[in-house]
Amino acid sequence: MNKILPSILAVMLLFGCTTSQKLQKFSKNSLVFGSGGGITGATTEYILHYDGTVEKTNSLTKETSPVTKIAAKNSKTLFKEFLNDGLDTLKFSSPGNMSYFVGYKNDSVTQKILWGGDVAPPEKAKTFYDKLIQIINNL
Amino acid sequence: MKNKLLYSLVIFLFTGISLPAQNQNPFNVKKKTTLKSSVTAFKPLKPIPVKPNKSLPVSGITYHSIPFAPMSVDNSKIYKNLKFNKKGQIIFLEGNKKTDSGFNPQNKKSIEEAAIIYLDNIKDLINIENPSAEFQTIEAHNDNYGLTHIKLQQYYNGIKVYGGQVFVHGKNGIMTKFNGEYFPTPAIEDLTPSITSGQAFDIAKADITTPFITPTTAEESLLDFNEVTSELIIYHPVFESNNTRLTWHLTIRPNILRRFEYFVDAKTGEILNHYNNTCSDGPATAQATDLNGVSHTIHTYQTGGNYYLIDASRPMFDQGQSQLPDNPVGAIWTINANNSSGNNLEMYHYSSSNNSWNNVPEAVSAHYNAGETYEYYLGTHNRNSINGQGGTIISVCNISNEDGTSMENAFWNGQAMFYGNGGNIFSPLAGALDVGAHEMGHGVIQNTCNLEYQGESGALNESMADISGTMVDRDNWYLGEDVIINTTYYPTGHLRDMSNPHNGGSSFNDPCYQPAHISEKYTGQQDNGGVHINSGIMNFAYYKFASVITKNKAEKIWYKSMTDYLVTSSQFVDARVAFVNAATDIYGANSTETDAVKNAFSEVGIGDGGGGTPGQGELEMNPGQDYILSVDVNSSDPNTLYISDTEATDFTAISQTQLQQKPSIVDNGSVAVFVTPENKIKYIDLSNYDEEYLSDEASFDNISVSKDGSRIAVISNWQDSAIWVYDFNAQQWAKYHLYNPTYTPGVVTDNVLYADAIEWDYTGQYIIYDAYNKMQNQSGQDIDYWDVGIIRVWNNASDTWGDGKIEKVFAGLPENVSVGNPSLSKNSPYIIAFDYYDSNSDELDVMAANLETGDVGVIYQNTVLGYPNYSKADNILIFNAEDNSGTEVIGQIALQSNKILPSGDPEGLINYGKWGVWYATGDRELFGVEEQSQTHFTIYPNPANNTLNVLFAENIGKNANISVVNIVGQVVYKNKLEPNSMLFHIDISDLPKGTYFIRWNNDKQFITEKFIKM
Repeated sequence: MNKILPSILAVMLLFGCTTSQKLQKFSKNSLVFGSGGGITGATTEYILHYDGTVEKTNSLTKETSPVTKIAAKNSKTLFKEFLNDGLDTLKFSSPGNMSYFVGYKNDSVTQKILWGGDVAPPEKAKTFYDKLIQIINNL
Repeated sequence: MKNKLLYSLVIFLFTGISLPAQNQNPFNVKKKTTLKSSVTAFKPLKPIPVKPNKSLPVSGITYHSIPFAPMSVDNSKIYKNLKFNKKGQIIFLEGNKKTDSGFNPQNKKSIEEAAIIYLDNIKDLINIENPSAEFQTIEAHNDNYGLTHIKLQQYYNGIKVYGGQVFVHGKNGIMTKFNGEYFPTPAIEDLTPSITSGQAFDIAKADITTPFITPTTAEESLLDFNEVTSELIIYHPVFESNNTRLTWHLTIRPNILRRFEYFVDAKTGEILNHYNNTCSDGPATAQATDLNGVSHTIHTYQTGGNYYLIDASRPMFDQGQSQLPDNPVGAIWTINANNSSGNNLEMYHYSSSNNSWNNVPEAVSAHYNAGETYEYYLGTHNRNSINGQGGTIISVCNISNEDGTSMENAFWNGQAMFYGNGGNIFSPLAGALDVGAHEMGHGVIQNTCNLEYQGESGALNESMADISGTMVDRDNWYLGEDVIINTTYYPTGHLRDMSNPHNGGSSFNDPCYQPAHISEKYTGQQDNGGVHINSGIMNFAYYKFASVITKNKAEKIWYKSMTDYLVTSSQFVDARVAFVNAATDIYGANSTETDAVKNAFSEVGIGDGGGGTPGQGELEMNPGQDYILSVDVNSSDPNTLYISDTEATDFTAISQTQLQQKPSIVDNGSVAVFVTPENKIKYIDLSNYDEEYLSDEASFDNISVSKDGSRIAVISNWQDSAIWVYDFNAQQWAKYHLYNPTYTPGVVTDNVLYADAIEWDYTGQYIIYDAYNKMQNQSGQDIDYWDVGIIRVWNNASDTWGDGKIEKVFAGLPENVSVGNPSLSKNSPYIIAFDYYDSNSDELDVMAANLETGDVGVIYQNTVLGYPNYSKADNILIFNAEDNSGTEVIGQIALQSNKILPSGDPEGLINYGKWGVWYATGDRELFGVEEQSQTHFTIYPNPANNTLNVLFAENIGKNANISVVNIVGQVVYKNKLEPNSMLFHIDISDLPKGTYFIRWNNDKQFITEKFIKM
């Protein structure tokens, strides 16, 4: 097969930036990331808990299943980075037919940075999303 | 006695009633002759009998300047259906500005001349300086449908502009349409090559690895063989308008089998582009089996000894611009993602050495279905591909989830269709024609109405795509029935059923379930506000009327709705408007088809509007009965003030006092105030028509009462650069000096002589006024003009006097223009109507402006100052006008929903009348939005060439967007701003030269600034 690099790859390369400094106790929260939409409208959401466990939910089947567990210190680093980058307070929503998201949730709050539409997401959000995706890519 | 006019004002609009003679500025009637007065203060006033308001204003909005850029008659009102390419250039428009582009279809010279005139009429829109010198006819012909088409090639100083070709189309002897690709008049001065064509050939030859074999004499003779041909051209590498190169275009044939096209910079010798144009390769066909085991003839492409899933057989294929196989233009192209995704996405050609494809059924399905959908749009809707311009259609198969698992989905990512291979619930998604047509439908939606993918507009987006799916795969009303393999989640075996949105489910907990009626609408946040859920409501409406009038008719309405009516933010109610109007356009207002559409929308609970909550910054409509207060000008009638119904059929005389200026009424219609010819102030209690002096000081020229009746503003009767304000609660007067703000912080100019028309805003904080100004222009000449400003005279937050800060409504009025008599919309306090006069053209118009969007529209070309006034619902504007005999009348004209453009012809309403004020007698909350502060920004450099910098004076807050809009209102750039950022860079290098507007907004503000792209 001949590998090609058409311009549609460019839509996967997204830009932006944000700055915010805040650290707080985050132990009861979860980081969430994933994607959803398409003709089915189904969403696959991964949940990274503070202790490093990762779960996967599907909005269609409504099933939640364990995926993997990363080292707790790596998980804490990710949580810290999430806060340091201000992603907990960053509001961004530009959904497309297939949307991607990263955010956090706890018992009372779910916040997601959502993209896939016309407007590119903040770079830090996309970069952080890519880091999280690496967790499941390396399974 | 008053009577209603029965004729149409449009009669005199276009039948030769002369406009004001040159230099007879109609604004002169507003001038004052009394130079000064000894009055330094006015006496305190007694309260007026205002009926208390239900809710007093507690806060307000901030007004800001907008550029004066009317959506002129030449552009938006004449040319329509404008289409733009990614560079922001107009690539299609229709309409005709002038009749002098008429032609004789049998006379080629006549056709050519008319085409050039047509191009000349639109040259400012397409950024061509001199069409007659820059376009030459390639060919012209008349088709079988009575249409004339002329194709023209672009040139610059006699040198061909490569890739610049346009069409002008005519019908019935008039040119009416334009389309094509072109480049703004090139900015290139030196047109002398530095290298010869021979040197360019040497450069290209060194780059070609194919052996050069000299043909035999016989071969040369038979094949008309030339080793190289050359042409000096203007070339734009990768079609960038700003990258203009003098270039040698070489066609090189190293041997009788091969042909290459080379583009060599004629100044530097750089190879700008080259491609293999060998003719022996080309389209092919193959017989292949798809995912459903069905054998199809598919179109492939042979090049370099391999076959590819590139369908170059359709009329849209552009051989000249294609670089095969990696960059086909106008093809249907199917690509293999090879089970990759996300950042690790890898894409490969589907290729075959023997044109056999039975080992890739998913690709066969996607390829074939894309072709079927292309043909549907072309054959049924005359739409040439997804973008309507013959753009390549790309399908990507074997896309996986990001964790590497098989994707049970298909989607459109803005540029291509992606198909997963399914799993436990779905078989490979490419196997369903309706899925492919749904995804391609998203592409068509993106290129037409571009419905925003959240909330109701997102549900409409999904529904339009579902309709696409069921119109292409039209044997039933189901979606995805061919790819569902597990009925656990979809018990009917259908992903969706447009004829039965519940689809076997009973609640939102069931994945198969959709609401069938607006009463069942999902209101949660999941699924971007239910885009895949609430689409069932629109789906059901479509099914209902299509079942009545047939799919063949329904699909015409659907497509026209998308292309001609729906907009990005359309909601369900807009969809009803869109579909009804589309049906009306095609089948007539009283047709069975239009009735079926109306009934269908009603049956799913999407009504005719009304009852909704107003948008941000909107007022609830006054709930009371509405009337018109008008001033009688019939000298034989002793009565001066009449109240009538809004149909002008029933009049009640309420006064015989003459009026100096237009009366002013509180928002609940309980009291009117006015100035008498003796320059005194009177008020009338409209509940009993009792009339009293509010002030017997003979010092006033005009008065406006605040909407809640707590304050008045007056203009003195001498040349006084001030607005005086009296607060009934504080029992105090305050005098506000008028000035003209400049764009230099802290610098103002004192060239305001006096104000005339005044009107309070709905918060009671601001007064919008017009003022007469005298100053010297840059040439040192004295000029005078009328301008409109907004002054803050009260501060609701502190409940005290305002700071007197002034904003001009229009930043940078043309020198010859005056504007005045501003009046606010009744429900959208950011929209004003006003009079406009251009002393150069003697054009006198009633216009309106949206201060949030910066849009300015021409509503009515007048012969007298209009003193416009909006109706209770803002759907009609009334204004002073003249009938055929020159008698003063009050005219009316219906408005579009944007409130700044007309929707019909003007007509007379009240004979012998002027200064009409449309009011209502209900109570409403006058305003309720939070206090806002205005964020300022600076753009530099201006004019700009490549990068425009936007520097904010303060933190911009959250949810901020910035966009660039061209002169016809098309958004050519849009981006989200980062919270806390203060400096933003915009790459404008790809924009054509011209005037643009930067628009910045967040949740609370909407500010526009103009810039020039060099």
